[in-house]
Amino acid sequence: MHEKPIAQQLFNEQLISNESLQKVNSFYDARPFSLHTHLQTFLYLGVTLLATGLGILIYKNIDSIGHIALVSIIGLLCASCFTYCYLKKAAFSWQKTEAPNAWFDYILLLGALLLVTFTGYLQFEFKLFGEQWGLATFIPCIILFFAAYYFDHLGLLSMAIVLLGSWAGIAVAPLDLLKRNDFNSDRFIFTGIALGIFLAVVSYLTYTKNLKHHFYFTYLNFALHISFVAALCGLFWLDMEWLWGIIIALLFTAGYKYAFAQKSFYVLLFSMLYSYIALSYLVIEIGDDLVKDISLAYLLLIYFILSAIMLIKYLRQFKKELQTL
Amino acid sequence: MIAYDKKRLDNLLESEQAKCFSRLDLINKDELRLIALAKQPAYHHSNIFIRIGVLLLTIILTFCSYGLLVLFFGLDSEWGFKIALIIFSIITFAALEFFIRNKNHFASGVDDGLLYFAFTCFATGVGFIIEPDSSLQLLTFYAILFIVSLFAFIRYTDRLAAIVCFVTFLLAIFYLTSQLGDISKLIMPFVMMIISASIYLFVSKKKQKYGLRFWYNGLEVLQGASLLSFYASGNYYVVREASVQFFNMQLEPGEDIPLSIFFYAFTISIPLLYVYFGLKKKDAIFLNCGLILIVATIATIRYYHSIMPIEIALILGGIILLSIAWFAYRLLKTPRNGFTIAEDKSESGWFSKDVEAIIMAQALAQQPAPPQADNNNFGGGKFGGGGAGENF
Repeated sequence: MHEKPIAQQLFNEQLISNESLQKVNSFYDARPFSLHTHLQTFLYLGVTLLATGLGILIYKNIDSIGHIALVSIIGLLCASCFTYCYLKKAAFSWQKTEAPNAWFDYILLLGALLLVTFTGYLQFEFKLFGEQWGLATFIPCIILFFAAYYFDHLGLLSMAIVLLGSWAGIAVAPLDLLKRNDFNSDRFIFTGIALGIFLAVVSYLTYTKNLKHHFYFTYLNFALHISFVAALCGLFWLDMEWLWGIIIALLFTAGYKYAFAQKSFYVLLFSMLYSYIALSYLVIEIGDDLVKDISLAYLLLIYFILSAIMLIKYLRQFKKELQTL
Repeated sequence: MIAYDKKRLDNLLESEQAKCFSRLDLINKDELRLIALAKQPAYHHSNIFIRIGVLLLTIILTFCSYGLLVLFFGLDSEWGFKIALIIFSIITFAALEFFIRNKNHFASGVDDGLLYFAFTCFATGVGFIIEPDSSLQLLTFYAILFIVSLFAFIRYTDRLAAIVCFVTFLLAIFYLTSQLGDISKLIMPFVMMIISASIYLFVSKKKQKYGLRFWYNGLEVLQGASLLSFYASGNYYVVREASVQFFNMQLEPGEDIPLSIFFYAFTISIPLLYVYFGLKKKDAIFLNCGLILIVATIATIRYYHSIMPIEIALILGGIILLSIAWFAYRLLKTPRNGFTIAEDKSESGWFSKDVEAIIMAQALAQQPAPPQADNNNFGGGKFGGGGAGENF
């Protein structure tokens, strides 16, 4: 980047002192090349590949002689990951605690991934929880929630939420939410709404009671997407469209209030987009009922044009208001 | 040449850089305040989420406006539609100019949206008019798109325009070379390599120039793109599939493309060389491209030669990555040779722990599930066929 010429320029305009200019120059001359992000990515990918590979390995070798040994190795590896973290961890606190070293978070992640594979396998092969298939998801879920708080690990928290979702019967992982669910089933819709509200309440309590305060956004993020997607599915596939319309309006109001209070453009954008989809759907449905000829196309195009103009104005206005706050 | 107001761009660039200096404690708070006051009027960076929202809405708005026009004038002739697309494109470019000049939009979502829409309209219109079929027509088509996207990159400094410009240029060169007849099939990989390397050298030189500071980001993207296309030109998979697709080469089982040894060697060595150069020259673009391309090379080799089962490959890959990280951490406990493992504070940290948590949630969802046959256990009753049941 052009740091040094810019500093020179600022110096020429007498906006920074000679001393500052020298500081900038010597900093950029001696700046070391940071491999921080690269190594973090390596650790993350390494752990994920290892856990996935081991997971495939045990299922492929189910009938071979060595598979008990294999399962024991995975169990031991998992246990040693958790033991390491237990020995190294900072004292527990309801506030944010720093990881003791660069490896800590990733060893814990490896332990957690292996734990899920391990319990899944035990249930699959040995019926550890008997016919209680739900328990095979619920137990690791509880362990992960506990570990997330105990070791202060946001990744484990979001993994625990994914498990909670799959225990309740819906896929809530970011890329799965929109493709691996039975969107038109009552089950998905009502579970989604309930889970969304539950997570939103937990997020609120996390925030206000200051219990691991930095966890609140992860809860909120899941709550936002799960509840909006479930409500939209309700609107599309269930009866009583007006009721779903009201629910989405309520969700939007909540999202808007939050976005305004927390200056969160992210929450604003998604609340608005989801609600806009709902509104447009209702407009098209109602229009289709009332108008039966070509003028419907005109009306709809005009609706989209006007609504887009209004929303653009509104978004830009919102930004200005927040910036002056 | 540039559509935006240079003074405002400079003020933005300088005040953003000053903020970065201040974050690094290189200048004091008074100086920062002074700079913020002096560097007015300036464009300002729009929040990324607002920008995305405005961009989507701008595209909806423009699309529906033209839809209304088409409906109103009852355009149903083929040529009318083709001409209309070009006219829409011109109107959109005019609107873009209006918003930049009179409403001071810069990277606000409105200007990006209008630019992308105008270009898409133009490309579709030209595509319908030429209906490219022969390689000469394709050459003309991509050459026209190249000129327009080059214009867009220079005038609006947009990174996406830079990429489109680069890709259309390569395609134009591809079809130009294929005019040469039979010989083209042999020289094509080398032509593309030479072109990519030349673009890289040209762009790297231009990037250093302070006079071209507004195009810095775009030029940086082009550097990365040309490194990737250099590799792709000689990648075994690309060369082999292109020979079959475009040059009607018939490969019997057991047969191989000419110079296959060379292309294998190229595929394997280039990523390693990139990584080596990246570390030696401390060039992040070289290093990142090299690392990404190692993955591409592994995928290429696995596509033709299944050396080991996937799970062994995954475990081995994981162990190698972790070992490299372990060595690097031990080696760089104290910074040496100009390398460090400490975070680079001059980069603004958008990649927060919150984003990382979302990625880890996905990692869990990718974990292997029990074999399919027994999944019925989940479906029956308890999980009610909930999609996530498949996972565990």
